[in-house]
Amino acid sequence: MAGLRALAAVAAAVAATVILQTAAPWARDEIDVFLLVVVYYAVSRSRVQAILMGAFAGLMQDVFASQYLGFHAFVKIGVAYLIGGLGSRFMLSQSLPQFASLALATLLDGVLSAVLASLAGLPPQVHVGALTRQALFNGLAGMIVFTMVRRGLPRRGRR
Amino acid sequence: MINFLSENRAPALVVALLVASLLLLSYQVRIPGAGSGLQAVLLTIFAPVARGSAAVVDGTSDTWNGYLALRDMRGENLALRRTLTRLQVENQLLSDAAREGDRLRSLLTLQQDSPHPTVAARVVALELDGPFRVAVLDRGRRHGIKAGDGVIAPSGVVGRVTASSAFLSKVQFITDPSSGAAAVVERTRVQGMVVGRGVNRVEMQYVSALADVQASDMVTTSGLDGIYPGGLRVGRVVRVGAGEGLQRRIAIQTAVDFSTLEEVLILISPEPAAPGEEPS
Repeated sequence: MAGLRALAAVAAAVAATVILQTAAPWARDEIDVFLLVVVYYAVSRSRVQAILMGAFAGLMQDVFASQYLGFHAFVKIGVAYLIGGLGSRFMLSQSLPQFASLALATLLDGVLSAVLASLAGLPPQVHVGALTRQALFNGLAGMIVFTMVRRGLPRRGRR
Repeated sequence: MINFLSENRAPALVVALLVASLLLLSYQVRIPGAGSGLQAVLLTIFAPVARGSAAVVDGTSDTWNGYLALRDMRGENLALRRTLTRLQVENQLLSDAAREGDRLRSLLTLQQDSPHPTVAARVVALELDGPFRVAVLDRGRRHGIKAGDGVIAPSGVVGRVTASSAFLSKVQFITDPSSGAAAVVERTRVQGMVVGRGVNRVEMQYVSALADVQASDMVTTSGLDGIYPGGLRVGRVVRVGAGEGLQRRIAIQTAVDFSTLEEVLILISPEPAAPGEEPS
């Protein structure tokens, strides 16, 4: 059941990526839908589930947005582990802490991507302005999506 | 050991997955095209979701446009105002439709002019912001597309297909840092290799320091790489800089604006299937 939910979450992320591309191209570069899924798992599920989701969502993001499989998977695993660590220590079920987690996750994602890109010999792309804008957009989009998911799904306790 | 792992499941799992990702990544960096089979499988699995989402957006857009066009008017005074509003909205929609028509017409002209068999495709996912420059198209192996096929737009070269599933294909843009294409300066026939350098930028390398290249020179494909036919526009020279030793590096603004890319043509090459393809 958990596997099916994860598959559905990643399928929803793929659908949202395509919809953003065709209906709202301006939002395409601002919102990382796969990151929203990973952070949702990190703040609402066990750390192990968050890490596995990080690997799966990252791999799918690699299929749609990377030349090499494993690039975004590496980054999302790292983000899931770190945000999952925060989630196991702090209460992140309210909107404001979730906004902060999403913004922090976006910054971590950008920094890890830049480090990995430079290790792989690719030009690292870190633009502070763009990263801040993405953190804001991801935070806002995540708050809306998380609220919708909370209302749509039966309540589950953190394991 | 088992006790240690069961007590530290999350750290052990994250280390294992990070190492696995790095191994996968380094394997593909060492052997180009090594991961395209797995990519094709994942593209196949999620193709219905991607194509369905694109169809839903199209359907919603059509319904909305139809609703606007068929909306009834109530009362004469109100009708005049509403007609004005409606005409303004329609004007915007028609302008958009006209622009789309222009784009499709130029794509059709390009398709008819091309000596190679081509397939028109639509971009369903685009990545321009990270370290990679790639897109996913809504046409795949069922339409004759395979890894290695060149991709062009009316304004110039777009890139090449790196993986294809039955209904989707993945394209590496010429602006991707790991891409390369044989090119020639149109005015002086100076040859070189263009590699990606970010959004709408490529760099021409392996050009002699003595070669005659100037800003605003047009650079086209030379056809020597076997991927793109010769004569397709790559872009215009914006800066001629010093390179290493007796070579110079030439910065080029691409002819294609990748941030607004919506439709492309795929050049179907007659070669047999490349190794990166999904097994049938």
